[in-house]
Amino acid sequence: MSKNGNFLQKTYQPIIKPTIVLLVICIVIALALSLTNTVTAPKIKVLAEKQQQESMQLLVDADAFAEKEGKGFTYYEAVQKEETVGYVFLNEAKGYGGTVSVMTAVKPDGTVHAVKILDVSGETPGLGQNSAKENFYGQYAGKKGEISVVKFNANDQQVNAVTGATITSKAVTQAVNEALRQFEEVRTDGK
Amino acid sequence: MANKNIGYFTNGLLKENPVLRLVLGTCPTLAVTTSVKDGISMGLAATVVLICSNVAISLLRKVIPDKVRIPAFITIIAGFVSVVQMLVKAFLPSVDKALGIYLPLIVVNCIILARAEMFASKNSVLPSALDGLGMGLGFTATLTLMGTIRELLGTGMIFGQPVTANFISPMIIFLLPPGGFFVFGMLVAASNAIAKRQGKQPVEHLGCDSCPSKGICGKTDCAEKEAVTNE
Amino acid sequence: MNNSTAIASILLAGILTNNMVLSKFLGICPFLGVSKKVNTAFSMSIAVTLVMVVASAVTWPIYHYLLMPNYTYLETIVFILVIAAIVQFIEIFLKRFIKPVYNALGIYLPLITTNCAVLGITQINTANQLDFVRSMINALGAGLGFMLAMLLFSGVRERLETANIPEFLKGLPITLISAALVSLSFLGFAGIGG
Repeated sequence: MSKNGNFLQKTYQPIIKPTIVLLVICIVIALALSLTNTVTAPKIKVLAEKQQQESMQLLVDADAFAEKEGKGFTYYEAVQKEETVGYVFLNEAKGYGGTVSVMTAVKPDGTVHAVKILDVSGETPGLGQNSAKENFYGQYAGKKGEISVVKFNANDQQVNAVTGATITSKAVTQAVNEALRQFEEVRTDGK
Repeated sequence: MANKNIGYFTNGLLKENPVLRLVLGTCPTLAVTTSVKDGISMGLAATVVLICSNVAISLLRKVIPDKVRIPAFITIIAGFVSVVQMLVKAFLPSVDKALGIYLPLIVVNCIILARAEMFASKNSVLPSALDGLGMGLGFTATLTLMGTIRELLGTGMIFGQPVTANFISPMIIFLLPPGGFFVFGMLVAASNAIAKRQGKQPVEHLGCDSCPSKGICGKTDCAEKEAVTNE
Repeated sequence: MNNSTAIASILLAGILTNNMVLSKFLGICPFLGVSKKVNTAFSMSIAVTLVMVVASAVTWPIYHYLLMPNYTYLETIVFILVIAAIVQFIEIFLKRFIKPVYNALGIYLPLITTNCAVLGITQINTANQLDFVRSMINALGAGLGFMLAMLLFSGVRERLETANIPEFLKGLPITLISAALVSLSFLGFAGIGG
C-alpha cells in the first residue's frame, strides 16, 4: 500500500498533474469550439447557399435553379415559367497563383449567356484580379464553341486577355470552355 | 498604478512595436498587406486573439505546470483562433475570403505565443489584457501602414478609392511579393533611424529575443550556437 | 491546384511558382533568422522538409477519416497539436536511433513547431482538397522550395557580410531588401508547370 502511495506521490507532480491540466484545457476548449460551431455553422451554410443563388440570379433571370447531376459534375438548370432558359456550370482552373473559379451560364442554343468570376483571390491584385471586372468577363457573352485568348483584336471566337495577366485570362477561358463542353454533354444526354 | 497600466498599453504601440522593434509576426505583415482593408482586418483579428489569450493565460498562469506550458498555451491560442475564424466566416465572409489561410495561421503568429510566454505567464490579468491590446494595436497600426503604402503605390488607390491612380501610373510591383519585402525593409530602416536618434539599439538581425520558440529551445543564442555546432 | 493537377506540376509549383517563402510568405522567421550561413540554412531546410512531409502524412488521414464531415472546425487546433507532437516524436526518435542526424538537425526541430510553413502546408492541402499522394507531393515540393529559397538567400547573405552597405540600411533592412531581390527573380518562373 505504502509503495503505491509512494508511487502516486512520485508521479503526481511530474506526470499526473500536467496531464490532467492539459486534458482539462483541451476539453474546455473543445466544448467552447463546438458551442461556437453550433451557432455559426448554420449561418455559414445559409450564407454560402444564398451567395450561390444570388450570383446565379445575376447571370440568368429565372424563377428557380434546379440542381442536376452530370457525369462527374453538378450543374443547375435555370427554369422560368416551366421553361428551361439556361444552364449554369461551376468550373475551376489553375491560374497564376491559385485556383480560379468561374460560373458560366449557357443558353439552350449553346452560346454563352454570361460569365461570373467567383474567386480570383489567388491572382495578382491589380493584374489577374482585374479579370473580375466586367470589361473582361463581359467578352464571353454570345460566344460559342472553343474560345481562345489573344492579346488584342479578338474575333468572334476569341477574348482579349487582361493586360499583364495572360495566365489568369487563359485559366478563366479554360473554365468557360469546360462549361461549354459540359453543356454539350448534358444536351446530347438529354436527347 | 494608473500610469503603470497606461505604460503596459503604450509599450506595444510604440516603444516595443511588435513588428518593427521585436520583429514578430513577419509572415502576415508581408502576406496580407496588399490593401489597407486586408491589413486592418488581419490586425484586428490578431488583436482579438491576443487579448483573449493573454487574459486566459494570465488567469491560468498558476495552474499550468511549467513543463507543459507551451502545449497548453498553443492549445488555448488555437482555441481562440478557431472561434475567431468561425465568427469571421459566419459574419464577415468577405474578410474570410481576403485573409484565406492566413486567418487560421494566426495560431503560429509569433506575437501571440511570444506575449503569452514573455508577459501573460508572468503578470496579472489587467496588465496582460492591456499588453495584449497595445501589442495588437501596434501590430494593426504597422499592418495598416504597410497596406496603405503598398495599395497607394501599387494601385494608386486607398480603400479601393482612386487617389493618385488618375495621374500616376501605379507600380504593380508593390503588390507583388518583392514589393512586400522592400516596403517592410524600408519601414524597419526608418524605425531603426528613429530608434538610433533616441539612443536605442537598431534592430540588426532576428535574434533569439524575437523567436517564439525561445522558451522551448532553451538556448541562449541560437545564432551563436548553431555556428559552433556546425564548424 | 486540385486532384487533376499533374504530380510533376504540383512539385514544380511548390518549388518555383508558389514558393513557400518568396510568394506565400510562410516561414519568414527561419528564412530571415537562420540564413546567415549556407550550411545552417541547409540543415534547417532539411528539418523543415522532413516535418512538412511527416505532418502532411499524419494530418491527412486525421482530417479525412476523423474530422470530415462534421468536425472540420477543429482543423486548426488539431493540426497544430499534432504538429507539436510530431516534432517531439521526431526529436526523440532521432536522438535515440540516428544520433548523427540528431546532432545536425536537433537544435532546429523545436523551432519548427511554430513555423507557419508547416501548419500552412497542411491547411493548404485540406483547403485544396488534395488526395493523399498529392498532399505528400505538395509538402515535398514546398519543403524543397523552402530549401531552394534558403540556400539562395544564405548565399546572398554571405556575400553581404563583406559588402559596403549604406549606414541606414545595415542589419535587418538590407536583409529584407535582398529578400525582395531574390523574390523578384522568382517572379520570372511565373507560368511554369501551369
